[in-house]
Amino acid sequence: MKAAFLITVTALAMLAELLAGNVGIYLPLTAYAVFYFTCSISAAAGVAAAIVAGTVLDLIYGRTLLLTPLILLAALAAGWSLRRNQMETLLEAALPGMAIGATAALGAAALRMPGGQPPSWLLLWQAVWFGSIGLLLLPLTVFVLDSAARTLGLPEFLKETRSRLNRNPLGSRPRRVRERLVNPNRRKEGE
Amino acid sequence: MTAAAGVALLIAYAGYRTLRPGAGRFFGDFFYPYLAVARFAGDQVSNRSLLAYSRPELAAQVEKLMAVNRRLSAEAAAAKEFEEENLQLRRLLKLDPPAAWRYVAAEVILRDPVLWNEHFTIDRGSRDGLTKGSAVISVTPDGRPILVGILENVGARTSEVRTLFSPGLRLSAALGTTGITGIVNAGERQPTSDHVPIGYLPSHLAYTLQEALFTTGYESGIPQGLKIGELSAVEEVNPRYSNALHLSGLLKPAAQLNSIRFLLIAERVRPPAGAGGGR
Repeated sequence: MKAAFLITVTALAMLAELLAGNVGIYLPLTAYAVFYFTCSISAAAGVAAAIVAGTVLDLIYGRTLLLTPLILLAALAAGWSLRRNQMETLLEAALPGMAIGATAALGAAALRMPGGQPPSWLLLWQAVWFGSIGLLLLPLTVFVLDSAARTLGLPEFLKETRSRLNRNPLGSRPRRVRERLVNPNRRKEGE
Repeated sequence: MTAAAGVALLIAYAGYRTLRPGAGRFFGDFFYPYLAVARFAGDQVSNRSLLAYSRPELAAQVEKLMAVNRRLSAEAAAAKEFEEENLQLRRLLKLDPPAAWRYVAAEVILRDPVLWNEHFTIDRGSRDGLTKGSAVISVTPDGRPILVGILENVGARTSEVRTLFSPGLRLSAALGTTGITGIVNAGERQPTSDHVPIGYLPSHLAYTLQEALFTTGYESGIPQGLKIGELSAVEEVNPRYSNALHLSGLLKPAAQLNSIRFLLIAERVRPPAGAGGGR
């Protein structure tokens, strides 16, 4: 079920990106969708979706270089670095969204460079613009997809509040606690 | 471990370069129904907007189009006379008949927002008789054909067009008045947002800026005489102090790619067997 949800949503995000591109609007919706699955399902699922979706987008557009998977991975990394370990509200998704948008704008500039177009000061304004858009797009994406995931009984992006004692700063990996049993009959060294 | 990762990346890149044309056509054809639905919706909106015009406005537009149609029909009839005379003369001189062309109408269905001017996808493919390397033509409001680009990848129902702004598209161009030829997207100048470089212009000749450039017909898929654009800049060298054989310049393409939607693709029609006596 998770795989079907991931594939369907990613395909719809790609289609929306293609349709927006047809009117000249660069809208990296796939990056936001992939980041959603990275946080809600697993990092491996998000990375795999980023690579596959990026490759398909490059193939459809007929681009010479396979840069979109790298751009999506960079956007994931940027969003991951600014995320909080436990996101409970939509507002906390704004900063990762900004990072994803700014990284996607830089990636678009990288796509134009093989054509001989050097970067210009316009790139800075594009990064600011896409970063600002990302402040809104990722929370909106989280809101929509969490609603669908809740209905389908799938893991959500926004997690429930857990006490600090139960939170794992490393994410979903369980903390291993080794218990050492002291044998009272064991003789200590030097005795 | 690093070596294994490097080898895996190398193999993946080689696989991508090998499979890219075919996989691109597959995914382009896969998404074609969804993109066609969006285009259909756009066409419906456009058709509905025509209903917003008043009857006098529509009548005026119809009359204007009829006048253009009459003019183009007369020009086509005159061109037909020249074509028949040309065929007759070629027959007398025992030359091969000239290349005949048929034109396929197409519409743009997919554009890359990042590489907006460099390539796009149209809704015609090999099922419509299109082949790789065919010329993609647009028409000016006064009916003159201009070159937009060539077909790069042809799928069953869609094809990818590489435009003049794509650095990989190199073709020969000739100045209209002097016949001097150069190569588009060659030379030492860098492309800009609305100009493409042209190189290998002979250095010992004089050039006039804003002069039109046309296709030469050297490329088998491109008819001769299609307007490419205008010469906007040519580097100046002092022949006393420079031994350069060629000059570079900038060309402003005539095609308006920002709003392009309908196109024509020129396909060469093979002459019938035994039509000419050989060259």
